[in-house]
Amino acid sequence: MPDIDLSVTPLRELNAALHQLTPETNERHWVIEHPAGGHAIAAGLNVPVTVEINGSVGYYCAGMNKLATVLVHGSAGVGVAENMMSGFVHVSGDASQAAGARGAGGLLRIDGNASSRCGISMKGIDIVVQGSVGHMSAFMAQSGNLVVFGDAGDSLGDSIYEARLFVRGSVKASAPIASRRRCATSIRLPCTTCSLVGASTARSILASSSDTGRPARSTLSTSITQESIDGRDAEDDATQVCDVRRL
Amino acid sequence: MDATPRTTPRKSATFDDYSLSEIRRAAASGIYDIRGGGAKRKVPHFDDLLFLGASISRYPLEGYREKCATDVWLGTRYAQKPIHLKIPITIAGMSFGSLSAQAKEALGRGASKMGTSTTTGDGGMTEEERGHSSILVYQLLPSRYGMNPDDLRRADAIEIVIGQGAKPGGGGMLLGQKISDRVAEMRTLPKGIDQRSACRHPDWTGPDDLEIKIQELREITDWQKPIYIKVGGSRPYYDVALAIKSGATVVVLDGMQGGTAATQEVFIEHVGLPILGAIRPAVQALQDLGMHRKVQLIVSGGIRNGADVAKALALGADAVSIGTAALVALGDNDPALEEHYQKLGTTAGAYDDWHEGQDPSGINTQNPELSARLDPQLGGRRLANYLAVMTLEAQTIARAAARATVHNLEPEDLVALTVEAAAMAKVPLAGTDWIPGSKTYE
Repeated sequence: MPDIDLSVTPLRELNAALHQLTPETNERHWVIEHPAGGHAIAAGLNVPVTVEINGSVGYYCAGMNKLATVLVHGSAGVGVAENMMSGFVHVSGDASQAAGARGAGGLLRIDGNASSRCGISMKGIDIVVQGSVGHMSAFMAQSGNLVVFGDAGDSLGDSIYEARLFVRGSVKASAPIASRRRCATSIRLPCTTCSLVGASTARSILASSSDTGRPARSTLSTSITQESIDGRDAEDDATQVCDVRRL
Repeated sequence: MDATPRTTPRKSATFDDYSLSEIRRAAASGIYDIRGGGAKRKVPHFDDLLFLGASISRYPLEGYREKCATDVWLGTRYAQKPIHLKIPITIAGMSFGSLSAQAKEALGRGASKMGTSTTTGDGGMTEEERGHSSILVYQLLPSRYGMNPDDLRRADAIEIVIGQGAKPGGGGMLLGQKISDRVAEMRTLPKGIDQRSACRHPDWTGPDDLEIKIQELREITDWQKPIYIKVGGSRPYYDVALAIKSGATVVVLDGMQGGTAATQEVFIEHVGLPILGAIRPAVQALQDLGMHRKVQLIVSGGIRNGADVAKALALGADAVSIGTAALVALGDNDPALEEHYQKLGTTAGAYDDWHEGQDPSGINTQNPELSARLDPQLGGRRLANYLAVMTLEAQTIARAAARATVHNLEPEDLVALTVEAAAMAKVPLAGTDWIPGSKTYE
């Protein structure tokens, strides 16, 4: 199990070593110490290994991640897991702006809050935020699921295409007019597991909705698992589902 | 005597026929006009410059016999694998979605034959263009359609698009008529629904962030690829300076004559600088930072022939990029298709409704029947021929100016025919030593 101390090893050396791994590697669990808010740590991974980072990271940690599991035991800067294709990224603290931006697949879990533009331009990623998300989250979201256990800031889902948004708390009411109208499809679910039940129910609602005017995508990513949302009170009975579709 | 003579009916220069027709169209429809292409209005351009040539004061090189190099290296700053082009003319970014797959293949074939690069666009990388482009630049745009790390690694360079000349400050647009099954799949969009892209990148908001974004891209690609930054002609001195500060290895500067697949007519005609007015401030920024020829400058927007190429290089660019001209070389707006253009209510040379997907040339369309009209091999040969002619023309001018490489051309080789062009290009008005805004030669 390689143990890399970033206070000694240059970032370039770490990322180069990670990029040279093959799918058959035996070095499947890496531990990074003293990240010190460095940028682009574990960016561009392409193999199913686990990278555990003990501390907070800067911008673009796990950027464009594919297949790998990246565990951040701390908080993350701007653009954590941006453009993720697959795999799993877990931030135990808070995340800054643009978490999971443009993600095409995989699962991003944030135990704390996520700042503005969480899930902006998302294209298939699943994002679970146990806290709240800031303004412009899921802006121009195209596909995937954003699950927020806390509240959502201004302009949630502005100019959305076909992503699905689930918010347990409040959604700030000052969203653009088009988005507010679309939010008329929001319902309160007797939710026990929130994600899977919510997604399925939302899908059936949308299929019969006269308000969307858009054919549903043929597939719905449901890679959010019960395990991924452990730690929340599963008996909460108030989950707001907000599916906003662009005209 | 007959009736009192009447003055000739006189139309307004302000309310000309085009303006009147647009007012009527807007009044009838209630929607703004969308079209493709670049600015059609007349603006100061390379035609307003002349080369001086050689005489007693300067000896020319012998045409056809003495060498005049055209090759150029791009991305020599930071990148482990800079790009070497045999000619200083590249193919600009144009998306699959806007263009047919056949057109993308033809561009790749033609560019590769001449040893130069082609560029993806706002829609991801297709196998056709990767397979037929020996040097392929992969664009990272605000929309991030089709962006994935695998394509990033198999590209030869990465171009971060911040703006383009036709619409600096605007995002992309692809109307539903061109969102076919394949385009929808590549862009994660529903078929047949209008697509409007963001104008800002989703995960960075200023030059300090951009610097970190570039660092990420370099880390992901192990510092091998040149990183371009493309900007529209807006505030070129500051934009180029910030691009350099952010770590760009190449800056692409696009003037308002540069084409787009689709945007608002008002945007195309009224926002941004003509390329002639943008080059010298950009070069000044490079020089002020000690980066001229270290960070390469590619300019685009209205490049049509070898003279335009030579003039752009003389003003300080390292290479040019062509888009509209390349499409014309493939067959766009060909008079041979006049009958088809007439059916669309236009005429060859004026057709610009590229967004509607009915291009009879098979270039700006996703209609299988129309796109099948374009033979990628023939199109590739035509583009290669055109690139060869442009290169020979630029060499002809360079030799006449006694330059052993086209990159040795300089502003002293040029004069301007108009005061406006003299001021923009910072070269003297022909027959004088007057450079408006300056007392001496630059």
